[in-house]
Formats: sequence, structure tokens, C-alpha cells
Amino acid sequence: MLENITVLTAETFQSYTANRFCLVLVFRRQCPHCRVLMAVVDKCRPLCPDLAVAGVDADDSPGILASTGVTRVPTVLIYRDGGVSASRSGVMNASELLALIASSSA
Amino acid sequence: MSHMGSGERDLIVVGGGIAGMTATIYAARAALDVVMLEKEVCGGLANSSWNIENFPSYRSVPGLELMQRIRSHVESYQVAIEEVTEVTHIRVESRRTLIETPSGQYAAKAVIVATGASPIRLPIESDCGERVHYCSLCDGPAYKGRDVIVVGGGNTGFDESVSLVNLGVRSVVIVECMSMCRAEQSIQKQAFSTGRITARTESRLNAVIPHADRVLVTIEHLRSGLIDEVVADGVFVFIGQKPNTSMLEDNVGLDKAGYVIADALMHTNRPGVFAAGDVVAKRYRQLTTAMADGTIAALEAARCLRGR
Repeated sequence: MLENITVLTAETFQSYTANRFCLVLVFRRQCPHCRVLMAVVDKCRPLCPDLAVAGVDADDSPGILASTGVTRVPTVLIYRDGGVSASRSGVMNASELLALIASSSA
Repeated sequence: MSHMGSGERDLIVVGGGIAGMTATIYAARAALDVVMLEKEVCGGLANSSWNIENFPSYRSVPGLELMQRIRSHVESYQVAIEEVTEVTHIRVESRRTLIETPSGQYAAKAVIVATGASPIRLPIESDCGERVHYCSLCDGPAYKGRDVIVVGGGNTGFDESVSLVNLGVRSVVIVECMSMCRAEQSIQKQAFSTGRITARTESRLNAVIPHADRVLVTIEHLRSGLIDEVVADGVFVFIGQKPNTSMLEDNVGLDKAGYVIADALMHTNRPGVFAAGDVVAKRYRQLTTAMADGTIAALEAARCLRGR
């Protein structure tokens, strides 16, 4: 699961999210709900071929949490045109995640 | 609805907790054509355990690590594991069982229901949903240096309280409605020895109200009726579980609490339908008892299929 996504750092976060339509999953390695959401993201990826997927390890990158205002994991941030267009904390099922992604273009 | 996979399977295991994974290992070793369906990821409730200290061969092991090891064991048999696959309905027919999921239908000669149980939510309305949590590993780090309330004085409540203290939480008050906490003495001793965990028994949490950037928690002492207000930063809830049996509807016999009634060989009241783990009506729900259930259910399923 984790091996399937690019893990962003303070050095790469800004440039990655600046010009991409992308999903950023904020997670902790020992968080069970994060593993569930990673599996859900994996399942949804083929349905969203234009969506890039990356992760942020909350323990390794507290600065990113501070700058994005994320306090809980897992949290999903959807970026469009350099800004957060949709976000949600907590576990979601596949249909809820797809709805969140769809809402980001509304 | 489309059929998933290659026609009718010998066995479908519904649920990828330790009972389901053990059943799948035994089914694979019995050369059954088996698939395991899990609505989230394999491991079940044990994934959320900070430390497991009653699993023979491990003096202490994080729940997530133990479950990943068992999952790897299942994978070694090249068994189909379908995660993020929620079973919405199990329909029992005379010689097969149909398993429905949002993405299609599976058919099998036999099924093992190992769907486990889910945490019970806090039974009060609150405008502080963002500060009410059900997983210390997920949400605990945000409370480093802060004060929290833990609702529930069972093994999970105490285990998670220790986890919160280890994550840097300043103080934990455990609220338990019974006259004494139900957690094992060894876990209670470990928790209280931290000096940062206290417990209030015969008490019930009645409200969680916004209070500046914190929460005001109302705690009622059940014997005296006295109400106490405590300011804290967050609330973590561990007040037990309820069985995941909604997909069974009226197809399999359940007890009054909704748990599956199974005999000593894990047969339900429907031929070809077995049950294992926390979803079964029984007194003790432990990893070891779930493994025993899964073992028996798979061996019985194999025996019944061979005798067809």
C-alpha cells in the first residue's frame, strides 16, 4: 500500500501540489485507519486516472501539518490549481472517497 | 449483478480478522478453492491494539504488526484476498450461498461468517465531533501535553489509555459506569503506575460541550446523582462492540444481541454456513478463541464439502 504512493516531504510538498490535480493522504505509519484509507485509495485509483496520489507522513513532516491545518489522521486533501479544493478527515469507503474527489471539481 | 471470479467457489470466508485469516489458512491447506472478503483491510479490531500481551509466543507485540504477519502467512498460500470489499448480503440457498458486494456477486458451496464486531459509538449528541475519537493511534498524537477523557474501563479502555500516555498525553481520566473497572488487573496496574491515569467508576459521561478551544465534559455519578464538570481537550471512546451481522438479515440464527448462534463445531442453523470469531454468540472473545473458531470452521467446512 504505502509503497504505491509518493511520500512528500517539506522539500517536495509545495512543488508537487502546485500544478497537479492530486490527492494527498496524511497518515501515520502505525495508524490502522490510515491503512484502511490507503487500501480504499488504491481501489479508487483506476477509476480516477487523471488524479495523482501522494502521501504525507504526519510524524516526519509536522511542518506540512501546520501549514495545511491538518490535526487528525487519516486526512485526505484534494488539490486543484495549487489550492485545496476538497478535504476530509477519517475513514471513508470507496464511494465516499469518489464523491469527495468529484466534489473537488464542483 | 455480475458473478465475480471463476464461478462457484468451494468456500468464501467473509471477514479478514484473525478468525477469518486462520480459517483461510486451514482452508487453503485443505486444498479448497477459497476467497477471503474483507470490508476494510485484514486484521480487524486487533489492528487498533497498541500492544498485545496475551498472544502465545509473543510477550508483547503491536496489534498491527501481528496482523500483518498473519496476513503474510495467508498470502503465502496464494489465496485470493479481496480487501475493501464489503459484503452487503448473504443469501443462503439449498446447495450454495450467494454473497453480494457492491461490485458483484460471489457464489460458494460453503461460507464462513467471520465479520467480527465494530466499536459502539458514544450514545450522545455533541457539537464536538472533531474531539471525540475511537482510535488512540490515529488521533492520540494531537493530544500530546494535553488532557483527555477515556470512556470505558474495560481492557481496551485501559490499553488505549496507556497508549495515549505513551504518546505524550498529560492526563487521562477513565470514566466507567460499573462499580469497578472490568479490565484485567495486570493492565490496570500498568496504567495506574504511570501516575497519569485515574479512573472514575459508577460514572457516566452525559455531555461534551465546546469550551473555548477545549471541551467541557459532564460526568454524572450514578449512585449519588451528583454532576461534575471537567474541562479536557478530547474524548476517546471504548465502550464495547456490536456484532457485524446486518448482511445476514434473517438468513442465519442470531441471539438477542445480534450475535450468530453456532454450535461447538461452528455450524450455524443453516447447512454450509459456519461462523467464527467475535461475531459468534459466546462468553470469551480473544484472539486465541477466534483462531480456534476459525480453525474448527474451516476443518468442518472441508469435511462437509468432501462428504457431499
